[in-house]
Amino acid sequence: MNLELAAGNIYLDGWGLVFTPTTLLMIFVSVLIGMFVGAIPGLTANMSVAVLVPLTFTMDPAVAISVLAGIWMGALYGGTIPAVLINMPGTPADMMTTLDGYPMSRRGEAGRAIGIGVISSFTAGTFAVLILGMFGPALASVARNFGSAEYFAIAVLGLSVIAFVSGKSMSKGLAAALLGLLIGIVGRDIMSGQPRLTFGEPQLLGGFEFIAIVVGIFGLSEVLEQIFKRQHTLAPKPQRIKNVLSAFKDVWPLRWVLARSSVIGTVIGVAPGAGPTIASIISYGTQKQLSKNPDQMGKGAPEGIAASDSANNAASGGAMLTMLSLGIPGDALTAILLGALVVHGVQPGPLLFDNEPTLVSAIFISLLLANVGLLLIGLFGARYLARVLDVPKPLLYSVIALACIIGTFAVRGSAFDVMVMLAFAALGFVFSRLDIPKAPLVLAVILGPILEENLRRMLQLNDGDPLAAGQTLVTSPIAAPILLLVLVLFCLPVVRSMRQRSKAKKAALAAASESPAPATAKEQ
Amino acid sequence: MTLTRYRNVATGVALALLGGGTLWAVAAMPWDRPPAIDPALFPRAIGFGLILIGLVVAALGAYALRSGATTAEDAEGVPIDVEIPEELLAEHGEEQTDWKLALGLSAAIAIYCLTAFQVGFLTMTALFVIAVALLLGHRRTPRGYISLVIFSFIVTAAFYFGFFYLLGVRLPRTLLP
Repeated sequence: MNLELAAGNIYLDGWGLVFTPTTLLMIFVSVLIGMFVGAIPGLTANMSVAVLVPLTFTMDPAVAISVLAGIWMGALYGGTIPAVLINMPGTPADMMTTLDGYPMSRRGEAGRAIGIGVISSFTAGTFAVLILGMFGPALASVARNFGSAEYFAIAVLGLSVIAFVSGKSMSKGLAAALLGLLIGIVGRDIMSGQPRLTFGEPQLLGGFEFIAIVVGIFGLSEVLEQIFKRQHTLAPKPQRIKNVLSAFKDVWPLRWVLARSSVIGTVIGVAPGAGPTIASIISYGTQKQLSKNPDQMGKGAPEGIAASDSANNAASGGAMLTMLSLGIPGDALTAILLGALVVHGVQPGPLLFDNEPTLVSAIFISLLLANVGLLLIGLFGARYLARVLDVPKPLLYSVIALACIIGTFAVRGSAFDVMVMLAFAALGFVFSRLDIPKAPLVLAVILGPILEENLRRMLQLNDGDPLAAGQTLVTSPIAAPILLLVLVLFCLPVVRSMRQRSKAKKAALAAASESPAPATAKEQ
Repeated sequence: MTLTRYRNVATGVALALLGGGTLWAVAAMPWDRPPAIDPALFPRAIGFGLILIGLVVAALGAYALRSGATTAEDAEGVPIDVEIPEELLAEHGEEQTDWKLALGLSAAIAIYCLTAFQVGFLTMTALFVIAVALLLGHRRTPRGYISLVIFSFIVTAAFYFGFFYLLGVRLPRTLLP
């Protein structure tokens, strides 16, 4: 594999595709749209991308993925604005930003806090994209030698990690993943062509339309959830935004925080299953441990905002690395992007770097430009973006619901898909009520067919012998450690719970032996 | 907390039933095929998995109900070893919910989905925007009504132009415009 050639391609080839007035405008507009949606509390980055996917179907694949990635990055940054101004994260990934952003805003430093958020998002986002450019071709080159065993193991890891980290209960995360696998197998069997779980419905022979699933789960169900929780009645008065550019003075003192959080975010983004929310939490936690003034964190420390905002944006680039190089989505959002690419006739994976180097390069360049757009719009447009908080919610939610319904219809011009979307919206709402995470389901819908295809191919290669297939798995230098990691992941909560119980028992015994025995009636 | 645990038991039972349903749905497929070419291999594995995980969820819920033990679900946040500061958790007060409004919105959405592509896209879309905005508390003053009607026309035109004109999606022939 000629890595230099691949690297050269990725930096240069796509300029012709991206550097047109229309594409540049599309990228900047998409970042702006993402920021607006992200700035509305309750509307997540997943939702904004899912709802807007159908609008990209007539675009060139490179432009489409750039637009969607622009919306994604814009939404992640946009979430910083309400986090700072009204103490409500626009997206879950901005949860940690509220801790220091809001106290700064209360001190009259809202502009500085938002400026730090923009600069951190830009720095980390650019870093992660450069990592994608550097390691994407190399990872794809390694992945080119992957067989069924390796792909099977990576898919299992992705499902396990997301089931483990995306909710309070691992069993519910696993249940969501199993439901996703079940939904993913509806339709004709990939090998025999036999219909499975279609119940005689011809429209299900091709399976559920993926876009209908994600729009239902992340789009319409979120609208229902917001209304159910009466979020539309909240009318918080945000603080005024001034002196956003003053944040540049903070960049040098925060350089190590930015560097560390960018690395943490990228690494967590690369790991299949984790995502920007986890990246932001871990980065904030790490910063608190390493900070010279840990007591100040949570009370308006700029390093808290830098740690949180840089990690969540870096995670997006990291997740793109896994998605483009391996064809395995790193989180729910890259699963949506992967689904959108497939609709465009592009199959992410190692061969993408060989077959469509110009497209990969265009995606890489667009991501860099999206980060530049994020910096410019974020710095100079923050005070106008904040006005989105004044938009009457009843009107806003009616438009979002319409976008979900019409967008789903537009995919194939099918009213059946709209009904499927409605059913998944209901399922998403039920999931929220039962504390079942949604991300494992969406990821499993994409990973299910990969898992099944590679499992059965592995069995075929071993003459249908499950033991021999198992041997292939445990002797593979890549699949074996990955599966071991999966095993550790499942054992970890059990071990931790046993240790906690034993600690609690010891503490109870110690407390009982230290406290004086209660006086009995006889003694009295 | 108790309600959550009852919900967990019910969720577990529902999952196990779904697993059973999956096994029933593929029961007609032969069992004697080699696994590599067996289309029922994966559905059966998922069915058994759902039954197993359903039983685990139900058992954990039932155990927590009986013993009053604290489980991971009683805690806030994600199950990773990162301390979530108390200030953040303190923000989560008593949740205010409105079932009636959620059901009303669901009904409006369902009616719109059933009629928009059968009765008339433009008419039903404009009506949908007005109905949902009023349902969600848009101000009911003469000025509010006028602005809402204008808004609904603009939104309907924007969606029609964006999706059916620019993207070229074919709209079915209907009775009303």
